[in-house]
Amino acid sequence: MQDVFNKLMDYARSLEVDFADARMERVEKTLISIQDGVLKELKAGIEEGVAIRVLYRGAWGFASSSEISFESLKKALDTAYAAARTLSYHVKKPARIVELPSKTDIVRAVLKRDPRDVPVDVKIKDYLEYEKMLRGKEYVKSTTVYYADIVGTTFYASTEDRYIEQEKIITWMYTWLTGRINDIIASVRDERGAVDGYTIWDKWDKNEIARKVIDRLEKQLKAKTPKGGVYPAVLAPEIVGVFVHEAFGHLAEADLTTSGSAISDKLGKEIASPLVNIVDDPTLPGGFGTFKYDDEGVETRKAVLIEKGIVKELMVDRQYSVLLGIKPTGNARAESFKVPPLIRMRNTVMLPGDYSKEELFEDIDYGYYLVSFRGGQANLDGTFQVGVQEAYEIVNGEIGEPVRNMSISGNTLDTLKEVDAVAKDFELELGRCGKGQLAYVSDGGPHIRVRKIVIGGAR
Amino acid sequence: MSASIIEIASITVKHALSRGADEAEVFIVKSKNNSVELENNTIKLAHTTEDRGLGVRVLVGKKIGFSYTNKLDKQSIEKTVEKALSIARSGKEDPYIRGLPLPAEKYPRVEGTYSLEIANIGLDDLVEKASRMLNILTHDKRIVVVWGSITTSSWNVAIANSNGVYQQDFGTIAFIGAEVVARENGDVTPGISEWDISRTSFPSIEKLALRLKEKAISNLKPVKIDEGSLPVILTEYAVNSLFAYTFIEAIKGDNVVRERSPYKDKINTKVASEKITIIDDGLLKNGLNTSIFDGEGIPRRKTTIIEQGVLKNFIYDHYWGLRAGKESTGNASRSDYASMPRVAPSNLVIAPGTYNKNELLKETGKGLLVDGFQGAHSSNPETGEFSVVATPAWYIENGELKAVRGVMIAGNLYKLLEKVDALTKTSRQVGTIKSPWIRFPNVRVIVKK
Repeated sequence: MQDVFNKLMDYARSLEVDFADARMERVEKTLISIQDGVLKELKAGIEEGVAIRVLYRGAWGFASSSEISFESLKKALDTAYAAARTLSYHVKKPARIVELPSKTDIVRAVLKRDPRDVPVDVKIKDYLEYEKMLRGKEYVKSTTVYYADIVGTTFYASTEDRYIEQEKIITWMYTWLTGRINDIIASVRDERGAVDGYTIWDKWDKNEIARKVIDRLEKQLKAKTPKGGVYPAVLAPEIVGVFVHEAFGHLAEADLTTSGSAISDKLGKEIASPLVNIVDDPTLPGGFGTFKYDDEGVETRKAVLIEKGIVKELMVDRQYSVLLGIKPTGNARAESFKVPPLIRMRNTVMLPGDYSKEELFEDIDYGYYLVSFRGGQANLDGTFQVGVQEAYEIVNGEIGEPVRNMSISGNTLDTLKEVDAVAKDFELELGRCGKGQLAYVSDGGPHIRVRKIVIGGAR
Repeated sequence: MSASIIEIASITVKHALSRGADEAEVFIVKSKNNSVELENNTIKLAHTTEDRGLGVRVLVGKKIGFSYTNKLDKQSIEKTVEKALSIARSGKEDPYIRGLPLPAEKYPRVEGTYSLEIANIGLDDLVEKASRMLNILTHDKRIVVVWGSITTSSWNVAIANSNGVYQQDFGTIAFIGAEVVARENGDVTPGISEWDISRTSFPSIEKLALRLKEKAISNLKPVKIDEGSLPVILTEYAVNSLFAYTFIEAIKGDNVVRERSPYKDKINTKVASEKITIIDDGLLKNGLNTSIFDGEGIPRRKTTIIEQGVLKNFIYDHYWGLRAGKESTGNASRSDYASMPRVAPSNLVIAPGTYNKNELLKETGKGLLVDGFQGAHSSNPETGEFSVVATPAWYIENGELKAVRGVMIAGNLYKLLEKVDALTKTSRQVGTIKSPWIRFPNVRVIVKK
């Protein structure tokens, strides 16, 4: 691939472009879906293609090709070049990007067990066995289990004489369980994964996950609904993760910050309690967002988003790095070779503090303990909503009865100021994020306490 | 590779049978997209992408396997067939499988699905349009364009199976849209969007940009409101957002068979206000998802879901139709060649009502107008319960609109549908659902103090 790319980049330079890069991807996926004991979908396939970007007189052109011969790549580059040229006549603020030194590197995934070496019938057997464990209780009405492994290799080259090969392999599983007791219907989800191969069942016991999900469902069926209003709350790592990602993280993606997100004028300012430290860290072991190079061939590094309550920096790509004067962070990611990269999160976490988990509950007379989420979303103006699928009352400092159908909402910045205790534990969750394109990300943190949060829920 | 995609599909079906498949189906998509994207008040990028690929579904006895490739040369296709066969053989029988669909005697004629204007428009035209949209929007200095897109796509889809299904279709679509924020004296609106989609002609840049600008500016200067129960009007955008994770799930045949739909025993019973009529119309003129056949080659059609409040039908693909003892309603959907068919609505049309928008706002007295939701995907499809942030939203007072922020609404969509008391006479399709504005009389509104 390196030879073809060298030739292509020579050709790009001959067109006097400001910059060009090519990203070839080869992605092999296997998907198993099981519904109510039936193996419903079994899929395996390969896609391969090249994304080409050209920056010409400050205008970006993009094209992709599913053929990888030099002739096809040249044709795609011509298309991207033509698009950039057309655009260049209309561009008022020419785009500039960070240029990086010449480099060649090859990064292989470190695997305990390559999912390609595990026969598909073994995977099927494992997941049928797990799915069966979900169906023990009478109130469980329906089950859906997905397993996927995605084996990808990216080959990157740029007119800077960079050539990078990087392997990314993830395995992922998803459980959705629906139950009914009389008129009450509820469903719960569980999502997890691994980056060291077919190791999900080495990390977790099938029975244990099944029990946990069933228990969560039972509580959603039997619990009471919350009182709406403003209450103190303890947020478990999974909720902290989704809050840090959805409510805060998106605001600190430089493209959205610059567009006027709620922190657009807050760089260098205190927006959160001094106990709050948030980073987007591509080096955390085992994260879905852990990788050495991003999809613009940039070395990734930890982005310190909030340090002791102060906004330190944003997540940038090559272009926003120049625009905002922030050292490249390597946050550009593309869903596939069919689309250009966007600024995306990697592993976004709140760092642990000094409190013990138990201390967080002590001062709460009445409040809520939020453990697991159903989904979350935020707006640029800093309002957020997180649907909660496992929660408990806190009464006189003790965890009380489970609560069903709850959601929390509020303004991110207000909420970050209300954080008055951060525990020393830490958990990393593996999941997905959609920003027009899908990305596999991680988020997490310790348990934290928030003095005030809006609790909503259907009565 | 000069053969047409329908010929390739047909040859591949025969090849799969010769390699040991009992039944086989091949689905091929070839598409071309042109797009110009806006970001942060600039035109960010122009792109042209061509994509094509093939998905093959095989049955070996009652075992199913699926594989796909984005290379249409003979060798890649043959490898893909082998992969589908080998995983099918290592799978487990699905006792409910009764084979692939048969071809229909007759396929419908569809109108308004292809436009030469859209198919032939050049990237330079799109750049010019994007530039015009940006200029109109940013002419008002209070507006920042967060994101925008002018996109055209054209495609050719073909499907063949071993029962004799042999069909192809062509389509085009044009999309223009943007998300902006407005800011004035330290006040910033949430992200506010507006888009137009058409299969048959290029939507007007000017109309869209002016509509969006007006919407964004009107969301400045928020007022505080009290908690309580209020009439809530959902715009077509809000309807698409909230229904996607609740109502649409409830009418899918697979969820009905799997006892995940609250409507499962409710055919011919009243589930909504008599003002509500909803039809799944796969043949809707200029409909976003209108086509001759669905993802399994079954003819698209009209299926009445709710007629004057009474639940009439669910939507099915071939497999779930058989499991329910019904026929497919032509509702197998595939997002691309790499995906297996799943049950999904085509164009869900909510019949309009009698009000014009201003009349409705006036008559509402005090209420809430909601144009979008945050957290709609955290709704509970099985129960209809939701608790979401309404954004953007306006407080309605005697026909006047005043912006509100940080307002949550909570309730149960299925119960609220029973109480719908007004719909506007105009409707638009901004997603799967073509909807008028819909008013629910009493919705719980939660406000952060």
